[in-house]
Amino acid sequence: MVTSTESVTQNSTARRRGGMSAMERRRTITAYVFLAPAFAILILFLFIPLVQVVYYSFTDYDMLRSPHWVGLENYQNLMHDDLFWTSLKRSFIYLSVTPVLIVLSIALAIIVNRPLRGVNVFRALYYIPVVISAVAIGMIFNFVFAEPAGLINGLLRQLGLIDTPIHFLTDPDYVLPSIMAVTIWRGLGYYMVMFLAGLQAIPEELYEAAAIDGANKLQQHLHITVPQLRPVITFVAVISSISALRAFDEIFILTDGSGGLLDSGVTTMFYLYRQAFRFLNIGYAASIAVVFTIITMIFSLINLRLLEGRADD
Amino acid sequence: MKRLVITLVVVAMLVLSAMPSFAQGGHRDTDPFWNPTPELIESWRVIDGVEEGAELTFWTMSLSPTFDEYIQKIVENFELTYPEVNVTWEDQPWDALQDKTRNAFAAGDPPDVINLSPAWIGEFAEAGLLMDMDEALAAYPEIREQYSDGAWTTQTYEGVSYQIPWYLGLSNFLGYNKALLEELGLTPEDLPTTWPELYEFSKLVRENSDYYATSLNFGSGIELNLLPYLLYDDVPVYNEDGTVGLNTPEAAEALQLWVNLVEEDLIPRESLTDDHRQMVDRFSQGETVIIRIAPHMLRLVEENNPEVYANVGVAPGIVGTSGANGVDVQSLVIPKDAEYPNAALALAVFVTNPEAQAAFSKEVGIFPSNLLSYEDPFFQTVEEGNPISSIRPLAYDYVVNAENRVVSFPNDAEVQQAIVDAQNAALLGEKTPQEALDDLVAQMNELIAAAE
Amino acid sequence: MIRRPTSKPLSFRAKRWLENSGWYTVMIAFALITALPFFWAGLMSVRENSASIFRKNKPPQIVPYPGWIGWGEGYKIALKEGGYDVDSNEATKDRPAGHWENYGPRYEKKLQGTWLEPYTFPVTTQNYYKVWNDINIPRYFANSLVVSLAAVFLNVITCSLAAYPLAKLHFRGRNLLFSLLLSTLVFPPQLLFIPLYVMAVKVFAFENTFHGLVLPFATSALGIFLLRQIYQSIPDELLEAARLDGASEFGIWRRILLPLIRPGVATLAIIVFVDSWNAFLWPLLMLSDRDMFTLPVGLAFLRGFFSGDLRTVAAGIMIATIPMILFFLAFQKQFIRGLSGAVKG
Repeated sequence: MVTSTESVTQNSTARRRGGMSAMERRRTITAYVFLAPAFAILILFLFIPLVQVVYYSFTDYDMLRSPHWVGLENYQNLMHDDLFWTSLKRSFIYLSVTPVLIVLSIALAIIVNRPLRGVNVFRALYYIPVVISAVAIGMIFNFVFAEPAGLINGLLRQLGLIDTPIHFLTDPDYVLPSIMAVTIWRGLGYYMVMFLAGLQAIPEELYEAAAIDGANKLQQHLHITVPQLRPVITFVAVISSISALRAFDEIFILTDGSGGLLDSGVTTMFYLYRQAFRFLNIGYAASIAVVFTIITMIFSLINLRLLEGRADD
Repeated sequence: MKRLVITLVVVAMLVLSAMPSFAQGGHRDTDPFWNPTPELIESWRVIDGVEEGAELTFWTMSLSPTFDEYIQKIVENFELTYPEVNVTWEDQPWDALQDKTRNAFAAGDPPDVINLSPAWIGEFAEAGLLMDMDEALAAYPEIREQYSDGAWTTQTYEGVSYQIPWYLGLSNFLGYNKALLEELGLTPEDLPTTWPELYEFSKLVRENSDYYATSLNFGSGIELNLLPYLLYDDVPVYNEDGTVGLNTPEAAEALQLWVNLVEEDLIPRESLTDDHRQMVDRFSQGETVIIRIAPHMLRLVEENNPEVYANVGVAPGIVGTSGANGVDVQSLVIPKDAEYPNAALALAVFVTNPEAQAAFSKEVGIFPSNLLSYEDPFFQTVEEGNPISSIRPLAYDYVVNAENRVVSFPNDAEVQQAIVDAQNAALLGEKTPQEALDDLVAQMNELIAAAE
Repeated sequence: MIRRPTSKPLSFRAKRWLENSGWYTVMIAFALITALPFFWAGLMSVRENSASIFRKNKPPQIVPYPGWIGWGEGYKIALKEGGYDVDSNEATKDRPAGHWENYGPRYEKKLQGTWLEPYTFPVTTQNYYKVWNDINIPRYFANSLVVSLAAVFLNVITCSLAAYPLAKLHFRGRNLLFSLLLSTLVFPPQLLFIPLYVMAVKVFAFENTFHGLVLPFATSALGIFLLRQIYQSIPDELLEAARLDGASEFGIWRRILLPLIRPGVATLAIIVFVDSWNAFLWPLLMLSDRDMFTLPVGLAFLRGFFSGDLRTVAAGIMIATIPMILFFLAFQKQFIRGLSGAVKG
């Protein structure tokens, strides 16, 4: 067996020669062996299709006939496409779901963290929206938003609070907020559980010490809970914002695939779907996908940098 | 304890066996399709050159599980007629069928006979993927004659039909709630037969009660659509110079009628996003007095609310100034490059033969595209307490005289989107009807030009 | 932590009770928001006819009482005749086996004249029978279970293997690979289905196979990302010590790291399970053999063109969702403990 001093010398010699040392080479090989199973699957079923889709973006492809090359034409058309830019704006409006979700989920997690009786049942109830499949969501929310006797309108009317029903899905201005509400509804339990886990990792002593110092509950939460939860908040913020930008299922289901009256629910993801699967402009849709991915990547990196940056203070 | 409960639930579900299915008695005992004689089977064999050992795949749209037995009987009888062919039947949910068909073509592996909605045929026809049915049946003119012309031409591409019509929904009837009519002091004679009459009728109902006269189904495209509305109001599709001509003053007037229905609260607001099922739901809840419906949809009413169903009457539907009716067709298409083209054609023709279609009509309130089916006495029998049956004697005339005026365009999907956009812009007051139509025509001309 | 009341026991306990009821109110309010739509589906799934619970100018029918309870065909006959009881050995084509009893009149009498009466409606098991009969629920449930468990198993193995070097080993190309991985999280997935479908059918013949449902999703970028975060929280010294003792990387991974990341693995398992269970589009594209359908695909057939009233669909939804909720209820302790460990990093 090689002793450490010997290996160090060997390494420095190797590095001076510009190549990899034996140990480094062994580590690299080991690393790739570990990576192999996952990356084999990813390459086959994710990267190759991805490259194909990028290829499509330079073609005129309608899925039924072979693609033929058109170069940058799709991208040029994209720049002049008003609906695309509007849809991009809507996608970023959709992002406002994330801070709402984070605040509500943390609040919910704090509440169910208390040792009250039956709290397990409540947790299960909050988790229901997560396990309901998409088919069910459509049916359920068609009822919730229905006019005039859906769950919300019917209830409000029964209680005498409103005269005319609220046009959740039939007024273009209300369509996007209504759909965003559904996304929040679905996400509550999902993120609540993550925050709950984070909360349970916070040592009790911190709270006790603060209580002794005279801090009230709110102050305790602001100064202990939130900072301690920072890593979770970062993780949740990044994935939920990516999720929000890519939101599609709710929009499709609640607008019956139409994108909402006057296209009020058409975010970039929906626009992509419409170009690809309604109009069969696969090449054009692929160019939308590429541009959108780049924009989302930049946004996520900035997001990550901001969140992690502040943590270092 | 909790874990035990869950284990038990899971085990119970895995162990329980499926329940036996319900057999329908009655008409099947006397129907020739369910009990074919050898002569009948012989007479069904009409296509020549059927490939020996052919293996066919047959896709239908949302007929399972309700019509499992019927379709299985079709397969059984077909294999009796053409013993050299083997058929595999797969049913697909209707909202996924279009995607599955596209994917199947993309993978080069489409089924042999596909049941599609005519609205979806255009894109496949444009891509040259479908068998030309005019050509295919040119050798069998006696078979071609059996089909209703209106159904045959329901969706042509560049003047050619790529489909064989299967079952028809006679969509233009009016269902009405007798109890509500009585409550409002009206009689069936007061029911509207044209759009302007519908407008007046809705005003009347709204002024005298809390109910809506009717709800409509403007939602998402396949439903109540501006194009057929205008075309059956005698608005020409194209001008003489070949550009789109839908923006005549008459067209704007017709669209204005719809706008008035929305703006004056004569129809429920949700008509803007409802599809036909939701429209039927509203009628089943007793919220609306009349409904523009194809009689087979009344089955949904029966399921939803037997009380309302007991009070349902059927009257002639609302027609445009042309007085003509269209039919809702379910089509059968065959890929151009089918492995066994003669066998596939044989299957498509078999599914639509007179006895098969008559038998289907006895299962549910749809109607045959095959004119010979109407010779079955079933189509002259009206049953007490069965509103759908009152259509039967009228069906033949309806089908024979049906006129298809709807055309499909190059770049059809984008054109249809433009039409829906124009319709909604007008209905929501974003543009005046004339503006919406003018913009639409400009867009359509662009899209059609781009496709060339 | 129990605090013993001191000199003023009554006011202290009263304050405690008020505080607790305050918390309960808030919890119930949130529970209504998340669970009410689901309970409405539950109410719908037992209605006899007329799906509408809220009616014009009349009180909402939200209180159920037993109505037509039974199983088997003959429900329609029972409605006409007032009851139905046909044994399986007495069954004929026109009168198939089944048993339906109407408990309604008994309860109607009890409720007559009470303030509760307008809010009540009779319940039936008819819709559940229809779903169970039309759709092979146990089979689909089993199929979904097999596919989801397989997906979980494969994901756990591949992700825990792959995340290790990305977190702890320094090697050539590490940053590039990780960025590549992240970029796939962001790419819109729908378009990927097109080439993926063509490949699955033409190259791999995945049609109508279970492995066709599992293999394309046997690993996930999110899973790798998640486990990488968890690995990062394990101190390097632990690994260095093991290396100095001569352990191989694989040995370190298997004997030291795996036990430590167990909670994170639990988290991954649940995320993958739920995603796989709810997956609709891919199984729909791949499966044509009815016996192989997974639950969401099977349930989609309830919404047919000709039939498929809301009540049957609601029953289907209940059947599909309730097991998941029970599952969560049973395992939430482990789940949260697992997440707790994961999240500490």
